[in-house]
Amino acid sequence: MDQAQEATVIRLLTEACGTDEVSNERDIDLFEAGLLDSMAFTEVLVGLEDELGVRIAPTEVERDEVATVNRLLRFVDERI
Amino acid sequence: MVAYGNLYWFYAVGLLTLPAVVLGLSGRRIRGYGLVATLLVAGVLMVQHPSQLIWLVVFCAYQGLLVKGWLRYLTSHPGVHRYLPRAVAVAATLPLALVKVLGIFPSLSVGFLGVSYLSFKVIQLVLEITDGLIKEPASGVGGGLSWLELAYFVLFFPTLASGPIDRSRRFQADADRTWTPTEYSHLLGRGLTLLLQGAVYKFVLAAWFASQLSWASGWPRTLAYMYLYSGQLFFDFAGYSAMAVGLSYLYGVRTPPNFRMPFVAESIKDFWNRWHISLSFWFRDYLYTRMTMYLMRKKLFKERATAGRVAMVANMVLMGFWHGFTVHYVLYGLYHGLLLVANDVYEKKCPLYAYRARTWYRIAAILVTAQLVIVGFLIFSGHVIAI
Repeated sequence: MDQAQEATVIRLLTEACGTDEVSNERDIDLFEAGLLDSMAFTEVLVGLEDELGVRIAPTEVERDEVATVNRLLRFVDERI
Repeated sequence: MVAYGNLYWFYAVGLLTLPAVVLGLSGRRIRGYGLVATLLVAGVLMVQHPSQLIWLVVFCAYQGLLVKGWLRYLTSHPGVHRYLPRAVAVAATLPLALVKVLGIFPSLSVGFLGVSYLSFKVIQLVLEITDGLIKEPASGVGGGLSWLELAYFVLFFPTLASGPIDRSRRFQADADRTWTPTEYSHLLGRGLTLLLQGAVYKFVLAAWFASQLSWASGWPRTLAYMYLYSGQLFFDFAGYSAMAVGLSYLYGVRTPPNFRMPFVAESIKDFWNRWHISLSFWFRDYLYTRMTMYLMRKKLFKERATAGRVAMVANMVLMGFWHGFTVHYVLYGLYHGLLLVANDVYEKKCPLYAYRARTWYRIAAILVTAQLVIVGFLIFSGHVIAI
């Protein structure tokens, strides 16, 4: 994953969570912190598909596996 | 015999489960015996109403052919399909829809015990096959989804009557496992604890709440009714669910829990992560997310958030219809759909939300959420909307 792609993932998360806390705190669990919910998570999935062409089926990942910025980055990296 | 309903059930199932415990404690795989027990119990439960047994057999044959056929078709015709996946999803939903719609006319009943929960399992199989998450094994030997594995997952008797709704890949991983005696003894301990907890919930606490309901009629006693009914509803279903999960553990299957202290939820969204979890997550994963993605991709709404909110209301209204085609169930769904939208708007717009980690905020949030939820149960009970 190049820097532009990483920036895209972070922007998608920032937009969905509605806060740029996301880019600083890369290891907090976004679901537990109340920053990410089902709707925001779906926005991220659609965004990844639209902008990076990474298609993830809704039940393909456990939420735990993509709950932090770093974990999501790692997951998307494997799929690009 | 009624599932988890009378002593006869507990004696019979207790005896039936002893061999599973012996297998588990001696470090052998329980799957084969579990399947035999499952077919036996399903047969005994249904044979009391022969028409149910017939519908169950028809249902299993139809859905089995659908699932196996779809898996085989996608394996031999990989690539993008436009309309077929939708047609297959509709075909898998058809029996449940028929049961629900014909249920309006008592004389036309084609239902059988657990039809909803079995359908939920089949629909998720079909959708995950479409998504490529369940595949035919490359070698064609073992793995995949044999008829027996399919039957074990769909009919697994501890959760046959009313869930919790497990996930196929998770279920199969547990069922395929051979637990060591130490691992199994932990499962056994956990299972027995849950069985006991569930029995206390259902037969002591829910029964007490139910016994108090009769005097709580008429206005203003409706207020008392609302709280007592909520207590009964929770302890009855949480009790059943704990027993179903407990019994699953005895067969080496860690069925996911259905309740996680719902009355301390700090928001309506949080409530749906704690109440009838396996159902609300099923709706989230197989309906809500997919509907939202569809609406967002089609760009039917200017903002993505609007698409999400429309899907939220539709999702909850459909859940209401699933409970039954009556006014109070549908209103209950609509009520929760609108509450979820309000919850979402509140979190995004209200400055008060910034204090969400403070103790005073959390206590207030729990109190407010619980009242909103309990009013919802009053709608659900049909007590005020008698139609």
